[in-house]
Amino acid sequence: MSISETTTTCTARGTPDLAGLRAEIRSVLATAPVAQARARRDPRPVHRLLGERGLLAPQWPRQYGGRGTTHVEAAVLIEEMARHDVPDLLHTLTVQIVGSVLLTCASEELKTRYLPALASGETAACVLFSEPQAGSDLSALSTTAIPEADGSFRLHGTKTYSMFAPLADIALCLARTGDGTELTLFLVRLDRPGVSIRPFPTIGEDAFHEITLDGIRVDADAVVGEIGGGWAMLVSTLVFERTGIDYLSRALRWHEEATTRLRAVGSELDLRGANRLAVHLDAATVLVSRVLTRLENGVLGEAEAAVAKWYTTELAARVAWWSAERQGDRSMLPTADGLVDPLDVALRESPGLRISGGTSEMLLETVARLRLDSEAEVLP
Amino acid sequence: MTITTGTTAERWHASPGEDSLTRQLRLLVRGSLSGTPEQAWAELTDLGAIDFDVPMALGGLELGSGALAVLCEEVGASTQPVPLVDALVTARLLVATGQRLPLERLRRGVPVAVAGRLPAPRGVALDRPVAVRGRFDTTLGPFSTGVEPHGLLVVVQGEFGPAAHLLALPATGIELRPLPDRGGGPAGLAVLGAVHLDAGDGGTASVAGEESVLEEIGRSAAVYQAALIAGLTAAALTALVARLRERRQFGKELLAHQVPRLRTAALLARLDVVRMTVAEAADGLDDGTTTAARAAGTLALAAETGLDVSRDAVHLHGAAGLGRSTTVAGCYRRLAWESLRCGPLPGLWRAAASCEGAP
Repeated sequence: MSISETTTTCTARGTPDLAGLRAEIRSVLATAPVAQARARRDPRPVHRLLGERGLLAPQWPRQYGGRGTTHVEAAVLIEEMARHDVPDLLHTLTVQIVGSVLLTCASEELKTRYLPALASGETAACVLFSEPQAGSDLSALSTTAIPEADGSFRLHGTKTYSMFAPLADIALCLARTGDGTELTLFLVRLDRPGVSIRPFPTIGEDAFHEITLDGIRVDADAVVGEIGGGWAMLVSTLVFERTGIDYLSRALRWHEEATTRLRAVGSELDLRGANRLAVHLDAATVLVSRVLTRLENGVLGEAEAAVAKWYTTELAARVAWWSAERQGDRSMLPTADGLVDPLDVALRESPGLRISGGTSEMLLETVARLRLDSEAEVLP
Repeated sequence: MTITTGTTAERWHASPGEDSLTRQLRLLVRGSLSGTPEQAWAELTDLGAIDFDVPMALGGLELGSGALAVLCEEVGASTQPVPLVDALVTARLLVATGQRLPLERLRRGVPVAVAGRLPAPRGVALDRPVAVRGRFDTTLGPFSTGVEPHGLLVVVQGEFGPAAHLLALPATGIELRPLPDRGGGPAGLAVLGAVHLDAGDGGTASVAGEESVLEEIGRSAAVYQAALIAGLTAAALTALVARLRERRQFGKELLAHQVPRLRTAALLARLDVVRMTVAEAADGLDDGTTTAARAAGTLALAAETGLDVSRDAVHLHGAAGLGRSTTVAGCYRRLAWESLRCGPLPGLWRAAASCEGAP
C-alpha cells in the first residue's frame, strides 16, 4: 500500500459502499465549529449538529435517535471525527460507553428518557468508575449506595480520573450495594446537590476530575439493570469501547500528518520508519474491521476485544513517539491558526491511550486468562 | 511436533470469518502431517495439496487462495521441512506457461525446490543470479530438504529481465549440498557450475516466465510464505505456552508469573493480527485486491512477528530453549531464513509502502 493508502478506512473493507454516509458526515463537519471545539475542548456544538441529522449515534435504533446502521457503518463517524481533529473522548464516553450500556442493559424507561437526548447531542455523559485506591482493580472500590425507605439510594464516595465531567449532564457510577459485596451501576445526574467536581490538569489536552458524592440521592429507577449486576454488565459491554476503531483512527490521522510533513522535507530515511508503521496500520485496519463485523454479528468475545484495544493503542503510541522523535520540538509550536499542533496532542495523549479503558497490562491479562489459562490451542 | 486437535480449541475463535468448510480443511491437513517429512509429503500430495491451486480445467481443485493459505499455515505449524510453498509457486508458473508435463509430475508429488529467492512482489529488489549467454555459476539456498528435490526452480536475472527455469535433477553441473544441522530441520544449498539454462540439456527444461507472470506469482508467493511463517510462529508459541504451563519456578507455574504471562499474551495477540492479515491478503489474491504492496507488507509483518516471537520463545524457555532439538530453537533457526525467501525485510517494508497501482 502507499502511505496515502494507509488512510484507507476500516469501513472500506468488505463492507457496503458508505460513500454517501461519509459525505454527509463530512458536510456537517465542514461547517461545524471544529476549531472552536478544539480551542475550548468542548465538542458539544459539533455533537449537536451531528445529532440533528441522526449522525451522532448512527448505530442506535431510530426510536432512540440513531439510524439503525451497522457498527461498521458507524465507524465512519469515528474516522471522520479523527480526521477533522474533533476532540473525541466525550463522544466515546457518551455514545460508546454510557449509551451502549444503557442500550444493552437499561430498562425501557431509562432508554426512552436518556438515549434520544444522548443521540441528539443535547445531553452528554461521563463515567464514575475509578477511585483513588481502585483503578484497574475496580473490585476494591469503596463508593457505597445506601438504600432509603422510599426505595431511593444515597451515594457516598469519591471518584477520580473522570474526564469531561463538567460538560456531562449524567454519569454512569459504579457503587457497592447490599452487604457491600455486590456492585451496582447507577445513572447519576451531575447537577444534583451533593456533587462536587474538582479538576486537575493532565499532560493531555483535557483535565481529570475528582468527583465527590456526598450523600447524593438517586431514585430507584436510576439503577441500570439489576441490583448487584454492575460488574457483569460492565464486562459484557466493554467490547463496545474496545473495538479499537477510535485509537486506530487517531493513529491513522497522526501518521498521515507526520508523513506529509516528512515528505515535504524529502527525508527518505525517516520515511522508512513511516513505511513500517504503514504496514502495521494496515494490519490494524484488518483487525478492527473484523472486530467490528463480529460485534455486529453479536459474536465478539472479551479476548478479541482486548486484543483489538491493546494492539491499536500500542500502535497509536508508537506512531506518536516515532513522530515526536523527528519533529517533537517543532510540533510544540502553535499552528498557523493558533491551535495546538495535532502531533503535539498525539505525544501528550499517547500514554493515556494505553491506560484508559483498560491498561495494556489488564488487556493482556484478559488475553492470558481466556486463552493461556485454558487448554486452548494457539491455532484454532 | 504435533498439534493436538480437540474441542478445547473451540473455546475461542481466533479465526473470525473462518467457516466450517475451511475449519474442516484445516483439520484434514493437520491430520496428514505426522511422521517423517517423506511421509508427510506423500500424505499432502495424496490429499491433493498441489491440486488445490490448479484450475479445474486442468483437473485441479481450484480451491482458492484462502484454502492455500490455511494449507501453508498448517504445514508451517507442523514444522515439517517439506517444500510446499516451492511446489505451489512452481505449479503456478507451470500453469501460467502451459507446461503440462512437468505440472503432472509435480501433481503426482515429485518434489521441486525453489533454489534461492522465491519470486517476489513487484518492487522488491533482489540479488538474483545473473545468467550470461544462458549460463551461470552460483550457489543458491537455503531451502528445506526434508524431501529430496527432483527438480530445482531458479529465478535468474536474464538478458531481458527476470526469468524462471525448472531444472530436472540430477543434472550435470548441479550439486545439492546439505547445510550443517543446527536446528530447524534439514536444509541445503544448490551449487551450480556453468549450468546452461536452455532446454534439452540432460533433462533440463526451461519454463522461462514473462515478467508479468513472475510478478503475479510473486504476490502469491509472498502471501503463501507469510502463511507458512504464521504457522511456524504458531508452532513456536504453542511450544512456549506448553512450557509455561508445565514448568514451575518459585513455587508456581511459569504462566502464573506476570512477566512471562503478559509477554506471551502480547505475542499471541500479535500472531492473531498476522493471521487475520494473511487471510485477508489471501482472499485478495483471488478478487484482485491484494496488490504487490499489500503482499509485500503481509510478508514483512509476518516475518517481523515470527522473528520476534521465536526469539522471545527461546528466551522464555530459559536454557532449555537453546537445545537444538527443541521446537522453539528449530523455529528460531528456520524462521531466520524462511523470513527472507522473498528478500530482506527492509526491501519488503519499502515495497509495501512505495508500490503504487493495481495488482
